[in-house]
Amino acid sequence: MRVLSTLLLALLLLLLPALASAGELTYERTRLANGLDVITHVDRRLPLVAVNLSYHVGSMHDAEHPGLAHLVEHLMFRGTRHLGDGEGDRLLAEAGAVGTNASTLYDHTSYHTLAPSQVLPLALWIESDRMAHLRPAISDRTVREEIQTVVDEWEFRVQTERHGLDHDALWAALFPPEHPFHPVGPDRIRHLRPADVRDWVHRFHGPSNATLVLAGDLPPDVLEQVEAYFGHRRGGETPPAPPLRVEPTREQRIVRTAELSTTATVAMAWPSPGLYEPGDADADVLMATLDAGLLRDLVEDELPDALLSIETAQISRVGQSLFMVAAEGTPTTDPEQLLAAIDASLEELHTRPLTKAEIDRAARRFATNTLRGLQRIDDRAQQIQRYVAAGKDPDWLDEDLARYAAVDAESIARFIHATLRTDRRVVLLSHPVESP
Amino acid sequence: MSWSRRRMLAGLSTLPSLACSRLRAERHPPAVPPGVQVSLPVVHRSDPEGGPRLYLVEDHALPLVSLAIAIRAGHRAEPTPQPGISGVTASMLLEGMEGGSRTELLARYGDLGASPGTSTGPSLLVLGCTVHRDDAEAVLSLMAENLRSPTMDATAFDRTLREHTLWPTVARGEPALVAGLGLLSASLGLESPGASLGIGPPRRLEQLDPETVGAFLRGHTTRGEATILMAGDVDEQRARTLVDRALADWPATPEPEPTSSSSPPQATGQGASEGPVRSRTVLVPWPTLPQAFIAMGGPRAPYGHEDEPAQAVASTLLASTLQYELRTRQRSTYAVQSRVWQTLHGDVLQLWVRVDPEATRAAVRAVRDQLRSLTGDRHFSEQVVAEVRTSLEMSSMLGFHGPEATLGELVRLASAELPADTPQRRLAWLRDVDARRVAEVIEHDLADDRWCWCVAGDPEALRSAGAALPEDGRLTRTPEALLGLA
Repeated sequence: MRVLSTLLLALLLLLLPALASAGELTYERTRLANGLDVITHVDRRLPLVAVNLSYHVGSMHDAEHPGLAHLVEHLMFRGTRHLGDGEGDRLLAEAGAVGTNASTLYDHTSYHTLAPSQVLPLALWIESDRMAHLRPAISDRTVREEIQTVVDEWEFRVQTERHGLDHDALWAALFPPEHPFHPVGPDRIRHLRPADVRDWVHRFHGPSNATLVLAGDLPPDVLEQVEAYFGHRRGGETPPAPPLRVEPTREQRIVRTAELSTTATVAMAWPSPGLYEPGDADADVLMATLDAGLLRDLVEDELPDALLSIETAQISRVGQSLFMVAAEGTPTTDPEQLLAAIDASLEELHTRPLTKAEIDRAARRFATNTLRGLQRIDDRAQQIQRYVAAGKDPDWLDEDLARYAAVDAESIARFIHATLRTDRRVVLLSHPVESP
Repeated sequence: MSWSRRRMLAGLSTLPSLACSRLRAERHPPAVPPGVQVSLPVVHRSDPEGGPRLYLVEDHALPLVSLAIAIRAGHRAEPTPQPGISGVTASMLLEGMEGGSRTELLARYGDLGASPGTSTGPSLLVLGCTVHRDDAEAVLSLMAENLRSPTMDATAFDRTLREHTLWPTVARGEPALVAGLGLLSASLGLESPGASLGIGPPRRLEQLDPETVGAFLRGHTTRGEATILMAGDVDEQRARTLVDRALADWPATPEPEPTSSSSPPQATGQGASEGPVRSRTVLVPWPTLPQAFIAMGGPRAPYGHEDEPAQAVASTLLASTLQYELRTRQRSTYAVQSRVWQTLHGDVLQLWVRVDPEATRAAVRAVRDQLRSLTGDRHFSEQVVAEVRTSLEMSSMLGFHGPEATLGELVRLASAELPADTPQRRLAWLRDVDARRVAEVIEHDLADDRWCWCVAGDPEALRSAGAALPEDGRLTRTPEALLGLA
């Protein structure tokens, strides 16, 4: 069976026009006795190392305390038993590290830095230290302060962005309040407590729930260093994956007036197959084809002189993705009319199959874009973490690209008929604000 | 005592020191050897007689090449009566080529795995993309053809013009941008700050026609005016061959235009400034804005100038000081952001924050206190300056990490026609920046009477800011006025 799948992969790769190769992501993988998953990728272009430690716990696991995963991420920078408030960041910056930061994703939380090669021991020590010694530094004051910062971040990313609240409204309609993808606003964040934080860290921040990716100009004894800094750590519970599927049974429409936008916008979203599931690559190829001018031409034929921009996206997430179309009309465009034009255009897709040339073109662009995403060593470390979080091998690149070679007109037609149905979608009609 | 017992006791005697050592390693971070090794690539520049100029960086780590063709059709080249023509021209490039629609053009790029993009700046109009190395020749030829024979189809032109004329209306929903324009107005003394960025007023844009735009482009698509930028898996000899083949059909100098009516007037190089506004502080009333936007900064030396690295150290030091004060201590903002505007009148540094309306006064006051504190401090710690310098050295190196980042650096070099060794020279200048030099720059550039401000917000925010901003030279301007809509 494995031979057969290898042969199939080889055949699919032959069909792929511009070839990326897993050779770009050569790696070694080790599991320490305590369960820490360690992946190294050597790349000696620059005298730098990328350190990326991910805990396999993210915002989809905090449904009982929405916003907790993100709050914990912030508190990881507020000191430990051995380091003062912000001292870890400061030490790394003094040594030349850049981009020291973290990101809370749905399925994992990633802590990363890019530093001169000789800083590797310090970066490992800091990650090991906060893996084990964060809890004593968590106080009522730091939790209160970071709650405020997370609220500030929401205001920064959502409230004062032109379409920030539109997108929040769309996600909130598609994913009900109990769903892990439901957006978390200030009201819910303010309910978080220090005890919740301590419990989260105690349960999930341990070596057996983490993957450490080291990429770049690594020393020969890198694994010995990892063992020295992490080998004596213990714990790390892997949280169960919550159910993520949503299956709308009727169309929902949201009509709102944007706080800031001066243009009419229409956005629509459908639940679509999860990352790397059958149908995910079809959605990507359809998105690339529509974005290459096809959808804009169709909509402009239906409603001339009304469109400023239109774009599509397959927002791929493990377990449940989202296919979106978002259009911006002129200030005088009626969102209802714009919606009708988009609907008429999408309807054409049901009867007009994509051509082989269109599909090949999209696959080729994905191949180039995949290589573009591997230019920096920290990008490579992040890509490896994405594959690992999805349960794939670190060098799953060839298989990833082979998915696109397997897409054809029939599989895209199946995706359109099964997914892009009006009774499965949420539509947002956003009217422009009056003059400020 | 048997040998084994002696060995056991000897071993036991070392246990306390081992435990101490282990404890110390657990409690104290390891020391880091000083110094950062910075590796910058060699930039090859060649200037053959009759052009085109080539900037190249070889990077064979991936089978990718980032390429761009840059022509001197930036904002500085815009004829006085046609402000904004450069941006319209750039947009029209991707609307199709002679005999083919936009969709067909994008399909040709797509067949090569490419997603092309255009940009304009004070000096250059750039068309570029990234492809697999095997497609480099084909895509460079396609870009050359694209620049020489874009469609000037009437429908596509109307659509493009509509997007450009509506841009100020769309931008009215972007408070960060409006605050930035306010700061440019204060820093450069401009009534219409958008003009300094090559943004044409809608009424002037509406007077453009396809023939005029076509003539503007043709006047600049010559071998003599073109610069080719390449970064990635290509060597110098092959790069030169690709360039010569791709631009073989381009004329060496502008061809005479068939009709005088469509010939572009001579560029003035002055942009479309409408005269000075004497104010260092611009207030922008915006009643519905949930948070206030505070932008601050002023002119700074351009990339490639000897003073720029010291100014970069000083502004980075200021930004990190403000980040600590406003985010960590006051908890009034999420982040202090920074950018450098490249305008027709020089570069302008902008720092900006978003704060709740009631926190505006405290935030402005804190910034002014920090400025006073920094300008009054003539004894900066060499260690602090060294840390900032190190982070900027790292940024210099990362600017060349991968073909696409490198292409961005090459555009910077080409914009000012800088020598190929500019990155190395800048690094040397940066390493010479010491605490004394930083103190000089801060005293000169960050002095209270030179620092410029823009605050956009609701009445409470403006009232609150007003109590802390400099008293003299305040001007109130609406978003519409800053965007050229009034």
